[in-house]
Amino acid sequence: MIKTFCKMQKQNLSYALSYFCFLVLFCIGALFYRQPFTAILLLLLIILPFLSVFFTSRTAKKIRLQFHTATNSVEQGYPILFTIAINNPSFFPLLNCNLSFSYENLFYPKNTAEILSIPANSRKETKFTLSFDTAYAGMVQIEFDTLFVTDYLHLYTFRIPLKKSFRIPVLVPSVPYTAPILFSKVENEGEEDSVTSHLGLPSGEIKEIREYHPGDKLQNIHWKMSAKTDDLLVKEFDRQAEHFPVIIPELYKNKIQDTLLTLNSLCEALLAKQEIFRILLFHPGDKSFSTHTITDRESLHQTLLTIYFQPLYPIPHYARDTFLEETDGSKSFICIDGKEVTEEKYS
Amino acid sequence: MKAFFQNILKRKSKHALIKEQELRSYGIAMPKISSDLSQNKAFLCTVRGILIFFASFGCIGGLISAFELPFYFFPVMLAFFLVSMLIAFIYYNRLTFYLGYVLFFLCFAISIFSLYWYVNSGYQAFMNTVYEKYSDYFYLASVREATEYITNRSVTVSIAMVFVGMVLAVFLNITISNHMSLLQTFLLTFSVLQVALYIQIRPPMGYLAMLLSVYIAVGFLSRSEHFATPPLKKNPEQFVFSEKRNVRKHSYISDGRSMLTLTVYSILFSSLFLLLCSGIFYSDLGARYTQNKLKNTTDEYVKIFIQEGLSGLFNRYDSTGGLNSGQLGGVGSVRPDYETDLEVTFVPYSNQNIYLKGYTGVYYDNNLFAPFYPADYVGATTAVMPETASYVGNDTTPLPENGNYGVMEILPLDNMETLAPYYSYMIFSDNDNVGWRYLHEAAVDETTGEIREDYYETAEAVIAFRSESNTLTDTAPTPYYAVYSPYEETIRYEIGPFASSEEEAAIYNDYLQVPEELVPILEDFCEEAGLDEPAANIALASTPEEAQIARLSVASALKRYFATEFYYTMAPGNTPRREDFVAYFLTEQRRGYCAHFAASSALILRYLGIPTRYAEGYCMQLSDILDADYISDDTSDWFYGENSLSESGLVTVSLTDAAAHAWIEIYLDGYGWIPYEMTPPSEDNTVTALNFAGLFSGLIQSASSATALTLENAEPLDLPDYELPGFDFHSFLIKPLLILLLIITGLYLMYRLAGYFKNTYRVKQLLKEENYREALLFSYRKYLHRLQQKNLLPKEPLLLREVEAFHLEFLLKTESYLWDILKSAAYSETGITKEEYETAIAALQKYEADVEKAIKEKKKEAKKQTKSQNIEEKPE
Repeated sequence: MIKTFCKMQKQNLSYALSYFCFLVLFCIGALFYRQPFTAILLLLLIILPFLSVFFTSRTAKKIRLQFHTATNSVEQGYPILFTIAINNPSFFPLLNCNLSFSYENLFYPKNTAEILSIPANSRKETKFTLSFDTAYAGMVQIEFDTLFVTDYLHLYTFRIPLKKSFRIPVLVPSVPYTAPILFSKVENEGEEDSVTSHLGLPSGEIKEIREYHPGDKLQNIHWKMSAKTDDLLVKEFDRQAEHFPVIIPELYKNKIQDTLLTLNSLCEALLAKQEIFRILLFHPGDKSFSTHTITDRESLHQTLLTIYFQPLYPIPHYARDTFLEETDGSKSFICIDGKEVTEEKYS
Repeated sequence: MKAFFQNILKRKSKHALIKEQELRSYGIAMPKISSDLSQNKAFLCTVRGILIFFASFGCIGGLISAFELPFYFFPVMLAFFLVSMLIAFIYYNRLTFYLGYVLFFLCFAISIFSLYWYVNSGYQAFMNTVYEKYSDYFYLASVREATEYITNRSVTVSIAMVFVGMVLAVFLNITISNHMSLLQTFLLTFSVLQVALYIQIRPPMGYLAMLLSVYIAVGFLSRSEHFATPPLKKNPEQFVFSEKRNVRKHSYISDGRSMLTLTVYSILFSSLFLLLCSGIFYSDLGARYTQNKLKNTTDEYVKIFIQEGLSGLFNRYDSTGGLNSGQLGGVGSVRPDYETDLEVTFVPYSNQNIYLKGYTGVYYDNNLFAPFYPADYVGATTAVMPETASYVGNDTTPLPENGNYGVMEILPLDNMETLAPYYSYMIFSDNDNVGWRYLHEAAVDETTGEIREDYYETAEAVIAFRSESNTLTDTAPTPYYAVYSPYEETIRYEIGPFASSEEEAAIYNDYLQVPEELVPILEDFCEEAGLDEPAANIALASTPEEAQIARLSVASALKRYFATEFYYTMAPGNTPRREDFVAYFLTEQRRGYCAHFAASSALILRYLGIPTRYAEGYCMQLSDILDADYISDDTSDWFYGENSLSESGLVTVSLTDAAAHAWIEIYLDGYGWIPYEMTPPSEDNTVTALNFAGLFSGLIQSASSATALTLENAEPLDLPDYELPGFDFHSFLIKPLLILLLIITGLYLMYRLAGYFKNTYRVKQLLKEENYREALLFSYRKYLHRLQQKNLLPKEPLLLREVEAFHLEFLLKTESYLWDILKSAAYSETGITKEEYETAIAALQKYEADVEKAIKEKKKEAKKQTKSQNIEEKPE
């Protein structure tokens, strides 16, 4: 934006020079020809720049900008509608308002600045709607940097910093997963984030005796203790250790869209089967994985949003190879690479 | 993919293509921006119309009001408003744009032809008033007087104003609606208003406020980015897209509300500002104003323009008013400045012209009548500069006791020559009576007594002499006095020859010089003018008196010939560079001013054997004497002897450079040098206009142009009695309409041809670049367009398979390979090969032929069916 501002200042300078030439010509005309009307025009030319800058500065201070978007997220292929409302409570319209902003999908960064040149009508709120077409999933970031207000004679530009940023996720469409769902499990081994799953088989050892809760099985009632205490008590057994499917999506840049689509459809299919699973996201910077346990749609949505902020890497099979290296091939997992879903089974 | 293919069927703007590419590369694009501001085109045009109205009416109304010409204010204002609005609405849509100007000019042409005399009279009324005011301001003697055929100025000026306003509105429409340029608007209006402002005439404040408000509004709007005219489409975009160096700009095209707000504020501000600053108009801004070079130079050119029109600005010399010291040619027209060159105080003694000679030309060469022969000239007897005074005397000659003589005080104000009337024998300066001497003495070197051979050296000595004798000082001009005998008296009393026989021989030797190259021209001219016969009488004369009479007869015959076959004008045009001044005048030009006639006469008479010389000076006419300032009745110190004008008093005559004149002197044996006038009188200088071009004749041609046309009935006309001549319906309506029709047809054909060649060129260009994909898609698009024009396909973007289905249904067959190639061209990354392109093009051409055939067959079938149905339905 500094470049934009410098460019505006250069333009202002050229206008100022042409204005000055006009002034000099009138000066010569008034001095040599002594026409009263020429003298009046000269006086006007001298006064106008000050008036122009003064009123513009007064009005620019009162300008209010509001930003609004209709939705918090959109599905891929649908437009994002973003509304900018510029409110000018002053009596003087502003004709040279330039709003600098940028927009990009974080997966596909681009180096293009946008400028919206709009008028600010007096005593009115004017709304402008930006319509963004989306073709790929990802996090769309719209940043409004600065509002440049130039005076009527284009001699001076005022800068009003905005620094407002909006993020709107573009979600992948829901596509049914048609391939057979495979399971790969990995031992939890007492990890702190282990989740007790109702799918685990009871081991036979009594973990504790507790009061009866409606819904408990009658066969688990501890009749002896219940008779002694005059309270209904049930036995709670330990269950076997849980095994969750682990999914590792490859955030390979060239196939990211297919990867997201496949991941989404697979995860939804798993959630439909009431399965709990984990998604390991690879961070190429430190070659680490972050674990995200998916228990419901909300957690899936959050994980997908996390993916949107992940840096993509140009190397194919990077996550898979790194995981295999770290686990020495001892753990099984599901790898999603574009449209391909492969189960890596290891003993 | 569907959207992509649909897009290739439409003509995509650069913006749309960029957006598509961005969408594909980055997954996001911003194709559209909308706003709740309504871009009401009618509203925008109205605001612009208001600005145009303010500018045009402020300018023209202000100008007319400044010169206090009468006109009907409200009808004119209404007319201006309507015209401005109509003109502004030309940019409303395509139809108004293409037809608007055509209809406007048609109406303008018809109206002006039907109201020609009103417009002409109105224009002449304005010009007469302008010239009158300018003449008063610059103290010009010449006043233009053009004929106003309709004298009701209110009507004529009003009508002329409307037509001029229409023309101005057209230009302002371009500068305001199209360009929104302050500089152009200002130049258009301010330069017109300068006609009044330059001579310190102030238009009424209201008009100035209108102009000022337009300048402010246009100035502000031109700096903004929201004044452009929306595209002439049905639903134009609201934003204009531009990209430069990774910065994309989306500019809102036109905001009518802001324009109107700004216009209103400009009007209020300008009115208030003028009100506060109105004191400037009443202040003595010019009271302490000292002349400056720029203003003086501009004044000079303005005066030239006023008097001579545009052609006067293209003369080679700065000014030719006054004497030229024998230099001839190089001047297209004489531009006197009408400043007083000298003041002559004397007692008028005759109602004839009085010639004050200041220069005598002896030797003609290269467009110059030099005062004496060059040093290397062989054959000259004397090389002295001929005396200014005709009488050769010495400083001891006393004043005559008998006869008539006068004293003339000559005060030179703007010239360098020493002038004297004929037959002066004393010239002395004013202060301290330092003595008198003759001008010719400056040609003699005082130390050596030899004659100066260098003319310029002599001229410098003359200047030194004048300075020494205080004839012309730096601070104030000093008069000098000439004592003279009126030459009519002198001739009457036959004071006798002045020259001795040797001197007379020298005169005959020196004053018959004619350049050799001009001899054939002079010979032909003399034959043409019939001068040979009177010239022959000179030789046949038996007595000297007869010889003198014969010489005068020749001169008289020449003068008559000039008066009938040539004519006088102050603007004869330039002598071409390589032409001789006299030769060109006698053969081609045949018009000129005094110098032309005098120089030519001198050479012609010399050729015929009459010693003649060329003279320049000032000619004091009776009209000058009648306009003189009366000084005193006491003429005792100023005139001695009998005065034929017994009631003359002492007067001072102011002679301007317009009185500068050239004539000839003929030598008559026994009389000496006799001045002779050869210039014919000037004709009537009234300028009238006959045709449309003459409407502005006063602006282009000078007032004294002899090419002006005259009407048969040139009397002023009053409404409503006089029936104005109408216009020829056929000439002025049918013909223009037919021509217009031809032009429109021609333009349409050219447009179609251009479209055809453009398409052909585009395909060739693509093939040259080996871009077969684009070339095929372009040709396919054109093919589809033709089918849609024939209503065979719906006019909306269609998929390939839909078009294929149509062909299958319509033609009952399909070339599947064509559609495969088209798919490859549309979707594949590699594109298609040349062979595939050629195959596809051939298939398309075959399809086109098959479609045409199928259409004809179907029409035939339809006709047959209709006939058979009619037969069945026919009642028995």
